[in-house]
Amino acid sequence: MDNKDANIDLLFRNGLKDYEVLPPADVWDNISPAVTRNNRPYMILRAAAMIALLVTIGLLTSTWNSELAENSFQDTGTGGSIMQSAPAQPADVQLLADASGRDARKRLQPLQPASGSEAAGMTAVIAQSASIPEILTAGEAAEVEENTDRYRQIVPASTANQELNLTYFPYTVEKESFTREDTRKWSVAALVSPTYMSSFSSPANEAAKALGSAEQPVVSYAGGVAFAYRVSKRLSVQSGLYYSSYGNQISGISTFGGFRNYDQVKGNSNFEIQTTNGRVATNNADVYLIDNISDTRLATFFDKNSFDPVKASLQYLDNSLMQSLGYLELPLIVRYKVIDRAFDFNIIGGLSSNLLINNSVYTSAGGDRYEIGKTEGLNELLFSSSFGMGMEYNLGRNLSVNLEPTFRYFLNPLNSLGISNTHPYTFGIFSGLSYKF
Amino acid sequence: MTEIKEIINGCLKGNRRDQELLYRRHAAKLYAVCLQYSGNDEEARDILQEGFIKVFENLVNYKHEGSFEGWMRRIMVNTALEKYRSKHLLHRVDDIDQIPEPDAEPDNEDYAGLQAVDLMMIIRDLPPKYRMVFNLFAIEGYSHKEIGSMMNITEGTSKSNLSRARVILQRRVNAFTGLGRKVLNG
Repeated sequence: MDNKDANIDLLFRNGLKDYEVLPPADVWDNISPAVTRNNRPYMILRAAAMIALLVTIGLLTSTWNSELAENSFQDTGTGGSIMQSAPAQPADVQLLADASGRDARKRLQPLQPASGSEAAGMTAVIAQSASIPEILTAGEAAEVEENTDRYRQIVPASTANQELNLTYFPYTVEKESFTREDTRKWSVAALVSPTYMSSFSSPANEAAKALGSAEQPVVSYAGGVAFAYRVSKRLSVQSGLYYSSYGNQISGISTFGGFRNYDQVKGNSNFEIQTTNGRVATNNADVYLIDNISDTRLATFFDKNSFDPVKASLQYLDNSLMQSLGYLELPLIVRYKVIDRAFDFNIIGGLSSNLLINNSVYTSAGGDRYEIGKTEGLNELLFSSSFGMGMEYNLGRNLSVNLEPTFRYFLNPLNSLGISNTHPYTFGIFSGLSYKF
Repeated sequence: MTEIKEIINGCLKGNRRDQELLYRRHAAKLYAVCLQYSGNDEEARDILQEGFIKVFENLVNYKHEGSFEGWMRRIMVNTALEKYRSKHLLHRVDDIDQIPEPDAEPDNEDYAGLQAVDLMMIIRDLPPKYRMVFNLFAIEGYSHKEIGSMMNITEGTSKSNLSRARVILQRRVNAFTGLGRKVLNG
């Protein structure tokens, strides 16, 4: 290679070495989904793991439920154990009597039966102990007979008839006594739930549709305290106080920090972002925004072709904004108990009023949150209807665990000034503890 | 751990923020490379897009040896080469005989007035086969043998294409600087 060739090669090599040209803004938006799609197998795995977990919990709950039913069968009371042992060991009464006739009488004299089952058990023992008169003195035998007669009077006729079906008898009595004794009217519960908010929106035009395509609801949370009053055996009225937060991720808008040094405009917000939930005006002069998706969402004084935040060494924060809304909810709910067992099942429906108490738009980077602004024109008061299923697992006499998948639909739109008529709906699975008194 | 390692690790974990940070840090430099290898902006944009997707897909194979930017640049060049092959060389063409001899001796000019943007315009005006060979040889430093196998041409064709590219470039550079002087003097 001669010098001329070397010169022309070097001219281009050195001349273009540090040359840079900003690519079109939407290139990243075509790259980003392709890269995210590669992570989808992990998301599918996570979803599969979540489903597996839920199925496992469901199966375990079902198993525990049936185990509890068996335990309640076995722990029915002394009546149950006596009755089960009675046919196999008729000598029980003999042993009692052998020790002392008085002892035997004392053991046979509990004339205040705690439950019908106990009485029935005793009856069963007595019925099978044909040898009582033989081992007791005549007086004692008569006394025992008298007690037995009195005992039989206390035991209902239907119960007495069940002496032939001893195996099933205590279970039935136990269940009846359980429901009969439940006189508690009030309950208080603390519940929390992850919530997912989306909307049945009717976009007014293509622009509104385009806005929606760049927004993604994120899982948020709700929680609070609920009070319920039992009107009848199956019907309850419930109210309380909940806090519900909802998140909407606005993608394709990159945020840079450190713009304050370049910001020559005082007073007004530097950027305005159009979202499906309304217009967001920035109130933080330190942030600089770039819309990578469209030219219509972001309104600003600053020309992206004349100011490059990367060249100006602004700190890159994130490429999406989070629109966060928080509501204080006062519900009025009616619960109807469909299944009344150790594992109760309720149908829940009602109305709620929701008061807007948190309205912020922010971006996050490295665990820190950077305030961007607020959504304008939001309705301060929203009304929502709710429908759900309540599963209640009784841990003891007063305490129960609740699981309530609930669907809520907002009757009025989030923002009356919004460019699309958005009626959000939420889905959440409330779980918590409730205490009856 | 250096910052770039942290960003790469973040990308490997699927962190969106790190992915975009990586893109924004290097996009301008790499887009210039894509422009250098393409005749129009649309093609350059496609190369950048496909190239970056490959960068993210192959990030797991990056061994942190040598320059990371150099590694990404090679991916862009390979992507440009694939695009060129799919468009221009469906089968082997040996067109050494069709190359005309240089019709003028290039002058040894003073290139002080030339800006990078001018050089970019000149190089992008080259016919695709000359541009590709010149870029691979003069800018990337590949040998004619390597270029032959990369472009599916003979070593001789690679040499003649380079020669022809140099002549055209030299002539255009001269014309550009001559014009510049003329305007200034005029």
